[in-house]
Amino acid sequence: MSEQAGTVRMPNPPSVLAPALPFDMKPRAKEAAADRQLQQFVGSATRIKDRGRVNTCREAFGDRYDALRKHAGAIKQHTLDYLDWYLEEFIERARASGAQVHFAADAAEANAICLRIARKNSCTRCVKSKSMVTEETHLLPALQAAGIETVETDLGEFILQLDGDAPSHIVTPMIHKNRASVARAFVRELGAEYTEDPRELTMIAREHLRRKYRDADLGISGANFLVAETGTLVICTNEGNADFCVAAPGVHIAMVGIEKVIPRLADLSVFLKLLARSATAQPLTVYTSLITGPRKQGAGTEREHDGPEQVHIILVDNGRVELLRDESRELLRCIRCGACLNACPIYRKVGGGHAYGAVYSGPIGAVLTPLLKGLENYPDLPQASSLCGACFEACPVHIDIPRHLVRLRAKLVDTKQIEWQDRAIMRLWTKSMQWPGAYRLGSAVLRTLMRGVAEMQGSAGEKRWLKYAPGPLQGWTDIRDLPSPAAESFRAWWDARRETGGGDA
Amino acid sequence: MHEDATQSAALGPQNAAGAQESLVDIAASKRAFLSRIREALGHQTPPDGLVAPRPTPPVIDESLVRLCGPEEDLIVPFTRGVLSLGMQVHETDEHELCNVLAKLISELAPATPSSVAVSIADPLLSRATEQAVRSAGRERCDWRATPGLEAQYDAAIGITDVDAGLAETGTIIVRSDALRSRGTFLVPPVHIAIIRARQILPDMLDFWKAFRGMPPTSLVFISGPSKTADIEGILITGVHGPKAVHVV
Repeated sequence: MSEQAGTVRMPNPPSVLAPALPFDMKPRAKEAAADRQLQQFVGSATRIKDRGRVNTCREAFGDRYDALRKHAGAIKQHTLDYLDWYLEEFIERARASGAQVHFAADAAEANAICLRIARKNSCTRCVKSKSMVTEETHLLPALQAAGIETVETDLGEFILQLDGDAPSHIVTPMIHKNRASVARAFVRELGAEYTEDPRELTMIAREHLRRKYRDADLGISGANFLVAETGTLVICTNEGNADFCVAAPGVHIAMVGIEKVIPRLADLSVFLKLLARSATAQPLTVYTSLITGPRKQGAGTEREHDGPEQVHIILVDNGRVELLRDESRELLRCIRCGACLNACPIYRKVGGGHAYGAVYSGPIGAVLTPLLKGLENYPDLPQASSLCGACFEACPVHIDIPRHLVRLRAKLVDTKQIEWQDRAIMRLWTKSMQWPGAYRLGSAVLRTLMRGVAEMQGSAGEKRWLKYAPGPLQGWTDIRDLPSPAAESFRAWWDARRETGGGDA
Repeated sequence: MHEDATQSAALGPQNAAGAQESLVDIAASKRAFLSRIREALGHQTPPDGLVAPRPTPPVIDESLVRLCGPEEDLIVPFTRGVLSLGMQVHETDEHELCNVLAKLISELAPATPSSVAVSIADPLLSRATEQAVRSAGRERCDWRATPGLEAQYDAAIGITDVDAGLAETGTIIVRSDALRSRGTFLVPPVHIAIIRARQILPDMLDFWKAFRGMPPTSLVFISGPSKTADIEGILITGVHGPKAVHVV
């Protein structure tokens, strides 16, 4: 692969997930669908992960897989139905363990709390592990604007940050980068020797990041679960970078969405067994870390030598509470495994996350993003689906995403947000379904038209094919041939048969 | 209100007026936050002094969740799991433990100067390990002497005991406390974990059933050496944490 061909061009990286609103998905989707290299990368990565999930889960759970997903979904749903109670328990227990709990109604507040904590402790060097919530609130630029040097420690995120690039995929964020571009970035930014060996490149990053861990005074992470009964944070990684971010600096801040609460430690048996298998076909992530409070201090025998002196947990709303009001509540079950993204044919076709123009992409993003950010801002997303249901089958907490997609589409219609052409066709359809006469006339016209066009386009033998249709139908016939309709409609054929008293077809 | 006071106190030295203000702020902010959630759920705020009845979470259905039942010999599935996770296994008994460890240390730690970090609470295992480090001619890393994880960045090996092992996956569970550092299984490039056969449990369900009291500040489930596949999908171990984990 030549150096030039190595990197897919990314337009204006950091704002790619925060585009101008209302967001029109079509240009990016079109560009991605035409990009063969992107299709190949994203296609193979998602297919492998999806197959991996199915294989690992079938192997582990056999016929119990679907029942287990329902069971996990039920536990999550119960927690959401009593979120006020469980959150209150979590807050009480977390504080009893010595952690400090803060409340952020929106993104601005979440970032402000973070900055306040940093300022109070005179923090200037931060190490950060990946967290979707911090992407939502755009925490990184806020920290840097405040003069706090912040390093992303997830290897993929670290490389992207170094190279001024943006994640192109939720599961494997730098799937669009090849080793040569990584090597160049390391030479340029780290003063390293040029090498294209992935192992050596990783070791360069490891050494660099270790220096950062040692110097850092602030560590920021997210959390995969919040255990109400003990006030515990659960953080799952394969690299162990979150463990460094928590253990090395003196202050740890965890920014977490309120929906991450689960009732008991024992519930982790259910969710952990499903999470890594659904996300990466592993039985568990390499590191599953349960953090309960800061290091034990004071003079007694319990005094610990290392660990953060302060643990701050920022509970974030940012639009989630609104979803609690109605059936959208189910969507908050999401444990961010990415299984639906890996299963979705649309996600593959549009080349992954960028096409959705938001932090949350794929099937779950197609419903969550409009609900969190306003349907009028993301009208295309609920329509970016063939309703195949693969996402529903993949979801470890049994979220019926197709049902919500349809709900949102209905809302688009009710609020007149669909294009006039679609409205016109639907009105035509409604009329023809209401009046048998209109239906007969309409289908007769259509039949004659299609047969005529197929005839013109000609093909050997009896069967005619509609190979090319003009205008809006062109996209459809570009990759399909429609068989020409029969001369006689089924209704006419049936009526004729009935009159002669049955008989063979 | 008590817990609000705890948090306010933890915020650091402030004058009396400042402390009072923070206390009120924290309580108010929590109240506002929770009441919005209550309102969205359609729940009534319980009158002062009363607590809403405790909800009952669904009972965990073991028939769906359990992956490993109580078996005669858990060592076999556990060993299988450990190996499939990319870790190495060495079997021994109390008498040979010291020799096995000494041999491992000699092989895995480069020649002097090279130190070994140890975080073990079990007295017998601790003694055996100290002895092994001496026999192998290596230095013991004195991680207590310097603050934080500093000392362990130069250690070649970290040796810990474990809270438990899970036969279902080959996972080991490592606890940190006053006697055991968080860095020992994370910072040095090689981690040796010593587990007694009786510490191996069938399934994660059993671990939580047997769990008593509050969790420690840090409890980590380890299922392999640190790994990543971000660069062109090629799997590399040892990106942040240890490259290799040996279970003894």
